[in-house]
Amino acid sequence: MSQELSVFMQQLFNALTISGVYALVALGITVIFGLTGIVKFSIGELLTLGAFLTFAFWEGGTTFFLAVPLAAIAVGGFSLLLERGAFRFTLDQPINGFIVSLGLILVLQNLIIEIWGVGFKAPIRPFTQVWEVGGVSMPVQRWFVVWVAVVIIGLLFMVLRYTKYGRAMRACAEDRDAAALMGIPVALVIAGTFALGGALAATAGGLLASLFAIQPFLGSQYLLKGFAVALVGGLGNVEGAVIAAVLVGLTETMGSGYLATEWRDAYTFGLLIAILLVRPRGLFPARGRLQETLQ
Amino acid sequence: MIKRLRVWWIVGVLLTALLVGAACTSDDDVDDDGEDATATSAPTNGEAATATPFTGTILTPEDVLRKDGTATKEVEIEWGWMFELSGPPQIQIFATVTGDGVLFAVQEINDAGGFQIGDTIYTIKLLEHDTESDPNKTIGITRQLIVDDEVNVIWGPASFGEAEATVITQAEQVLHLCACQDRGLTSLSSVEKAAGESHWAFQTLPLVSRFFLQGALNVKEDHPEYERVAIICIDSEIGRSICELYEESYSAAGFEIVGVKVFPPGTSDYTPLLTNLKQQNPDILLNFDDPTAQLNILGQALDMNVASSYNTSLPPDIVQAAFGDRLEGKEVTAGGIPRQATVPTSEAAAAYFERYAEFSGGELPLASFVSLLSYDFVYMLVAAMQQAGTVEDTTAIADALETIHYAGAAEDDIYFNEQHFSVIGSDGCIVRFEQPIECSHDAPVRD
Repeated sequence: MSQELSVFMQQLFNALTISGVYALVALGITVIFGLTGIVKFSIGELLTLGAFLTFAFWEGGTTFFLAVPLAAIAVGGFSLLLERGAFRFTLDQPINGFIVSLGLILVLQNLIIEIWGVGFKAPIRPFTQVWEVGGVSMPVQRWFVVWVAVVIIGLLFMVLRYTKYGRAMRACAEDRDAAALMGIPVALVIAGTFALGGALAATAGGLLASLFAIQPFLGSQYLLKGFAVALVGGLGNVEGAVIAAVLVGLTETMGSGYLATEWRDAYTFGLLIAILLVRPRGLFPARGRLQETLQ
Repeated sequence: MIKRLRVWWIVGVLLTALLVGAACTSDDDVDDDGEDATATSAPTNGEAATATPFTGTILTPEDVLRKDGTATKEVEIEWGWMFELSGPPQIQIFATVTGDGVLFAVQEINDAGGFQIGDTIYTIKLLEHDTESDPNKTIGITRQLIVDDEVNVIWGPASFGEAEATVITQAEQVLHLCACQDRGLTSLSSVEKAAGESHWAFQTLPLVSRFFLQGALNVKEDHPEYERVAIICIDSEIGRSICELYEESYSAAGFEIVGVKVFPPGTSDYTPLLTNLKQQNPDILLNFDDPTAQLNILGQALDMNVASSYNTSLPPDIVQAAFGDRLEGKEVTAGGIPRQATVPTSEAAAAYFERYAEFSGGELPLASFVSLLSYDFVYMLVAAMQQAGTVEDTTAIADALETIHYAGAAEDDIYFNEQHFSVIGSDGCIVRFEQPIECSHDAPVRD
């Protein structure tokens, strides 16, 4: 393999890993927005919480492979409580939900600092091997993250497409009132979606804890990227979020790999601006009630 | 110039952040093997290529505390002491420990019965003030110390308000010693030799460019086969300044800079730029940033096998514990780091930290090495007073302070250069797979 090709393949692999994480965060944002119209900015902090809980479980003797689902369940449950305790009162006024979400960022951030301190935690790294293929270095841990992301995304699609809950969720996203008239327990579906969004963010956080050193302000970095991905894909559109995650990951990685590295975020947001100029609702706009919200 | 002089302090703050981070990271965060494997090699006192050892008299603490039995009077003198005991946590940690160095040295001197000049034994009383990290309060305290308390010596602050305070102290010809990273911007900025308006100001913080150059020279001495250097820095004023300093220092030491990459704040994934740098076949990868970024960069660079050697400011035991067998066949160095920042690299330093721990109630405070930015200088100031034969004539004392060489805890030959910046060496450590961490003392690059 020529050096140029191996470098390109390396960058492609780099992009794939980070795209997986972005996709999970964006899915958390997009499923909640798709159903409620609430832009849940505190999802970044749920990601951080997931990362620290994964670390805590692992530190307590649990294997990493069990620590991530445990953290996802815990954060999913916490997100459910947030919906029951706060967000459900804002469903008719999504802007209030947005403000509650902003407030939660500060609360959760300080809570995390209070519990775990301001310091960093070194990556967990259950796999330390690195595969070298044709001059491309591929840490096994990164492959693991990619495959976990792919499996979760696949499962999410299946749940949304083929299960009763998924159909109910899509029905609620199309038209909440009509869904209620059809006997769908809308409140329950919404609560479940909050739990799902939180669990997705926590999973992303748990996976991040195996790739990078984590610190309490981690969430904001990924929230912005996740939100950009969700916007590019079309807020509320699950398939769009996944495609956009790959697009943003590629743009960011190739941009900083081949062009000026300091412009990394500018490439992402340049892409976002360009796409929104041409397609104001993103590449794959959501349908139904969501479309009304965006209009 | 402005950027340069601010760098050391920021580097210090980053290091404090790192140490805070390390302290906040429980033992389980890193493998315990790392700590167990930590060992200090015998101090080498390796001399940098440009070092020219001083051949005159180097004073010791014993010289300073010696009494000849002819004293007939005892006098207590008052010095001002003002540090940021409250305010932003990282500044507060640094300031508290810097101030501690003065408190500790003064206590030692007083416990030893004071110091003698002629027929008088002097003990020292510190008039202690918290500046609250507020420049205006610092100005007020400075005026109070000079006008109301009539002190002719002031220690501190560590950072906030020191430039403003220096303007006042120099106008009043008051001896003013502090870490003072901004001093180069004010009283010591425009002079080849500190004189006239700045004659009474001394910076106990060595110039950051010295640290980088010492580190580079040390690497060249240890690894003459290394030629190509790649550098990664954060995209900020400080980050870019560090990049420039790295470039200048390593170029001066004879290395070729094959790549410089800057990344935006908030980056976690450095693989795109590391892939790019790897193409340049660097022998050494340099990075000095906040600890989280360094840990990420180092881990990803080790995975990608970017270079033969990696330079970081992470504490060696953290590196060893965090990366374990991923260090196999690789070498991580921490070069040009502040003296005694990791482990004591001299017997004097080891003894100092034992005493300092006792002074601090049994345990060393966070970033305890920072106390060495003031501790030795208290003895030096007393030595200068003895040499000048006065505790009052600040001009004569400053003249004497310019000529004194002192064997302290931080360094076996501390002195001030002509611009009144302290000259102290740095430490260098090497972390290798399944080997004890080796730390050595690099002699300072002298004028």
